Amino acid sequence: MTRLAFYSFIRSNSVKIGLSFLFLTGIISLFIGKQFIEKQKQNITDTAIYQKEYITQNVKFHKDDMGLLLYYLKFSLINEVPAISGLSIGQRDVNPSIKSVTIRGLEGQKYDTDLNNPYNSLLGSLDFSFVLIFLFPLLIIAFTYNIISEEKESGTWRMVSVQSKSLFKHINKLFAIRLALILVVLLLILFLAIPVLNIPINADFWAVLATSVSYVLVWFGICFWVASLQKRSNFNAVVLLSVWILLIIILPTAVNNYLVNKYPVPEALETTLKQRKGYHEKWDMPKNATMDKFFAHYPQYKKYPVPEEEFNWLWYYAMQQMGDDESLESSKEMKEKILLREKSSRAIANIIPTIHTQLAFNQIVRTDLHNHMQFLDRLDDFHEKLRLYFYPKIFENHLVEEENWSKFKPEYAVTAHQINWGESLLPLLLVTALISSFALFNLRKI
Amino acid sequence: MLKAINLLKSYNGKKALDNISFQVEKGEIYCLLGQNGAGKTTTINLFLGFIKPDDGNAFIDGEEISTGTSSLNKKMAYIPEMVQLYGNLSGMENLDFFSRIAGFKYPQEKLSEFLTKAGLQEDAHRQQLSSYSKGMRQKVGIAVAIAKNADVIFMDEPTSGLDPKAMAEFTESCKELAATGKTIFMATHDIFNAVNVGTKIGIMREGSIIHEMLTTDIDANELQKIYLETI
Amino acid sequence: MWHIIAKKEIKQAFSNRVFILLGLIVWIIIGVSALSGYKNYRNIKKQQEHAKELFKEELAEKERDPHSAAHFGTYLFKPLTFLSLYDPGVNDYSGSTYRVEAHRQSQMNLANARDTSAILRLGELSISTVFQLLIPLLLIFFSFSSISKEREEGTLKLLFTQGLGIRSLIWGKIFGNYSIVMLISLPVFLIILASGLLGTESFIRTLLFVVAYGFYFFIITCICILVSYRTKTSGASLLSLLCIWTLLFLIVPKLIAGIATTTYPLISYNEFTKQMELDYSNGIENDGTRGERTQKLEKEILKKYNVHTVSELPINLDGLMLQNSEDYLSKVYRARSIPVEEQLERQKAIFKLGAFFTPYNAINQLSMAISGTDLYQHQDFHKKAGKYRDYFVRTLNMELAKGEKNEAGQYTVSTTFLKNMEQFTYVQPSVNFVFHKYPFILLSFLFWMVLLIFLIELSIKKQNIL
Repeated sequence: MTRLAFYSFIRSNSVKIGLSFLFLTGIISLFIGKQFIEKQKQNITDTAIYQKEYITQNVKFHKDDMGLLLYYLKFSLINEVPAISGLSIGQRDVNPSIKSVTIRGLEGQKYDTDLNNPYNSLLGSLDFSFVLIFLFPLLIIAFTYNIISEEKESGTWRMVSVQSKSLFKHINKLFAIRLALILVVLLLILFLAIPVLNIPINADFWAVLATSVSYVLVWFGICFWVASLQKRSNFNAVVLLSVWILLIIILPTAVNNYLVNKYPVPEALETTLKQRKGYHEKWDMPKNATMDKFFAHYPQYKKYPVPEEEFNWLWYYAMQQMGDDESLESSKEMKEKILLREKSSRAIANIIPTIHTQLAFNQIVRTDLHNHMQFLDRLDDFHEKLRLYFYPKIFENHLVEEENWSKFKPEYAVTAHQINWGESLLPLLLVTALISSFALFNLRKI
Repeated sequence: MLKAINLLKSYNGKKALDNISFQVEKGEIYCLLGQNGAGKTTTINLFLGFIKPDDGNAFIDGEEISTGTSSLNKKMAYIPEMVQLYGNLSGMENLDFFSRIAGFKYPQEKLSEFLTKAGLQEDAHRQQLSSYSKGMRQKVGIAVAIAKNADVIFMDEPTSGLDPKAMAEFTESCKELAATGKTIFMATHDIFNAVNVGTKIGIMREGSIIHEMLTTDIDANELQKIYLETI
Repeated sequence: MWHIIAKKEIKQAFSNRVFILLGLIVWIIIGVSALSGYKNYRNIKKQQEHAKELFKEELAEKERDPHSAAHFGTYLFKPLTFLSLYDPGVNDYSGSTYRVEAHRQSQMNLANARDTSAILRLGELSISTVFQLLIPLLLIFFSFSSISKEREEGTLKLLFTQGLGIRSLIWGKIFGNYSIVMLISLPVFLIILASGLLGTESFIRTLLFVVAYGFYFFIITCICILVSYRTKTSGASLLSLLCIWTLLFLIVPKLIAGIATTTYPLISYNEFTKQMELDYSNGIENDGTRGERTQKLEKEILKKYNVHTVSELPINLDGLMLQNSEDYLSKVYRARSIPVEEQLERQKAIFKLGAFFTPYNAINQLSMAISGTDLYQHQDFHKKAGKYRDYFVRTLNMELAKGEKNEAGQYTVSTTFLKNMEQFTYVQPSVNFVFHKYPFILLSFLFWMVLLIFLIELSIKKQNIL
């Protein structure tokens, strides 16, 4: 019986075309993800080479002035690009995964963006998350919109209801067949992703898989509910497509507009302004004013005398330091605002499965804003570490050749990452359960 | 008025019309009887110019039919099996629309007159078509044919799904039309209707006309016997 | 005869409650998007103006050493064009501020996309989104069955026996449905046009904007009617049209973006800056290393003033030296930018080619171009900002070269000098610019029209009545 229902479904040409189309786009998305990962990996390898080359060059040029050398030297911090991020590129295309900084003021260097074509970012990438979030629901709708209605319209419904012991079981069976087929395609794509992207099979992978399956379940729940209304096929199709447009286009864009208006980030400007003032003002000020503040920040350097001469590296780096110190407050405010925006977008996402799935994906594969903010925090630490290491060497005029420069290789940022299973899956499962129970309520009498 | 000579038409190697020939005179009501798939609709489609015969010729009023629009379009009208028309327009608006397509611009009173002539009650004229019964919709279809003043009217299964009263009214309308010199060519599988309304009957099987007879020579029982023997 | 069909189509649509509901929903969405767009626009505008004032004041707050004033620098803002209200284009991704500072050639910075969560990536609710994505969907919803339903219900046969020609049918349906979508859009179009009445240039832009979308809707209508004519049942028409929509409006644009980035990848910013810095210290085109260049310049200047030592010079050598290094930096920057820009041009060529694969890419680029929010105009701003930066730094370096000192013996520029330095005013390129940059896109519109008319005529020949 189930076998017959399966054959009657799969024999339809449009079903075959639909499934293979989805599968094909899924495969294309994997290769687009692979391309992205490879470029990032290449950038990382290149960075290591450049850094070495660049340090060697500059050490040769400025071998008698430690201060000047460190004015030029750049050290790279890398935000690792996990292989699985090829599934959901997220914000990684606009937020660079490598930051190269000098030990001068950080604020001015922190937000350097990568060279990119903004039109590309605007169009977005055809990654797996897009295929899942945008295209899977369409096929689910196409497969299920007429499950009850078609039989009613063609008259087989009454025959089935006379023949079948439980109509409810019959409907469930029809849905189960379609769910199974869609899941097979989904799993096929995901398991193919393992060799294509070289994804290690770990918790991240299972979390992506579980989120994907839950998202598919949400749409089956929605379709099940619409079917349970027992209206005509045309009505079902219109309702389901409207839901799709609402969840995929209208709600996300409206939420975005709301967030941008609700949480503007003027601090970005303010920070740059303060940084500029903090550093550049000091050139035209008496040296003591700068040095006092600097020594207050780093009491351990009080032992160095306040310079008398017109230019001195201690004073120069103290001024640079002031740029960061004085913009610290607004920088922090900005960060808080961004995190607040992020937090409220997560909160809203809890009730909108499409947004939630996108955010959950990005979180799991570490391409989200939160990961980037963490990376910037690590950049702060990295920068501070470099400063503390080099400051005394500059202030004491250490010899350039005494330093072992080859030990300065690009470093990887250690960002905390954990999978919050509940946060990722619960909203989706709850929505599914809620909608399905409505549907079950509607179907209790058939 | 209508003439078919050795018409041949096949779809994918299967013969829909197999050397069919017949003739219908002015003022006749010709009923083409046959089962589903016997080739009745194909014959009508051919005369309407929707399809081309593989071989043979068809004439209306001595003029050979070619596909597409031609001067012959003016001479014929068509009432489809399911007269759906446009549900959210009224009967009058439907009639007006189809008349305009045919190139006639009638004043409201005239449109109303046609509908009444076709047997549609006055108070229904301005109601939306979606509230009409099948019989009422068919009357609008007849009104369209009347308004066009066509010489030949083709009907595809006009009586299927009509209640007895509507059926009687329909028969009456057909006879009235024939009396004014119109030729009616209808495809049907309703034997009693054919005997009632028709003047001449052709029984079709597998794309050929097997028997042809005048209704004056035969009654329903005899026809039924022949029909069942034929198919 | 086609106008009878068109009229009936319109009449039927407006007596359909679902249709009126859909129209209302579209208006509400447009209203909401316009309102929030305007709020955001005003916010940014206010912020920018405020910051601009502040930067100017801060720079001229007190006497400064000319070179430290050059370091202090300023920030330039890419002004929002008023049509960005209707189509924000690449604004969210391109960055809106430019840092003017000595020794530094900046990139555009502070892009919105940086600070937002991934929600932005799902799109922005703007009038252009509604016009480009949702109106086509709306068109599909009310026109998918316009011919196939008549076929299903047999009225098509009736129409033809009444003497209707296939050509009249198809064009009647096209113009009928086109009129409907234009009637829905009319209030929005009128508001957009009214907003352009402020000036000739802006009026031309809004007019072009409206005309472009007028053509776009026509292309989409033709596709819908063509599919409706070529499919047997209305169910099949809807399915085919939705597939076409998904393919042309969602998948192909992203695919084109993917092809553009993978075929012509850009180097990373890190690599770019490192190349520049190495070039700067090593020299390009046999200019010699940095040290050699300074020595050479010193010699030249001494020779020019006919003196033997620096202290004998009537001017301040530092100023000239600094300016020379600025000039060299600009030279290196320009040289290194060329391959990047060329690569960008190649990407753009792919996007333009993409307009021949989906009308979405065609309207998307044209709409941005008309609104002044496309990549070309972004680059134009960046270029002009760069020029102003060079001017700004040069002026201050030359001041330094003059060697004027204050009582304390420091080089200075007065506050009046700083206040009176030429301000950066960005003049948006004229509409002509659009036509020069996008002949291909305009051609693609023509291509779609011709292609569709050809396909329609081909279908008419095929006589697919039953």
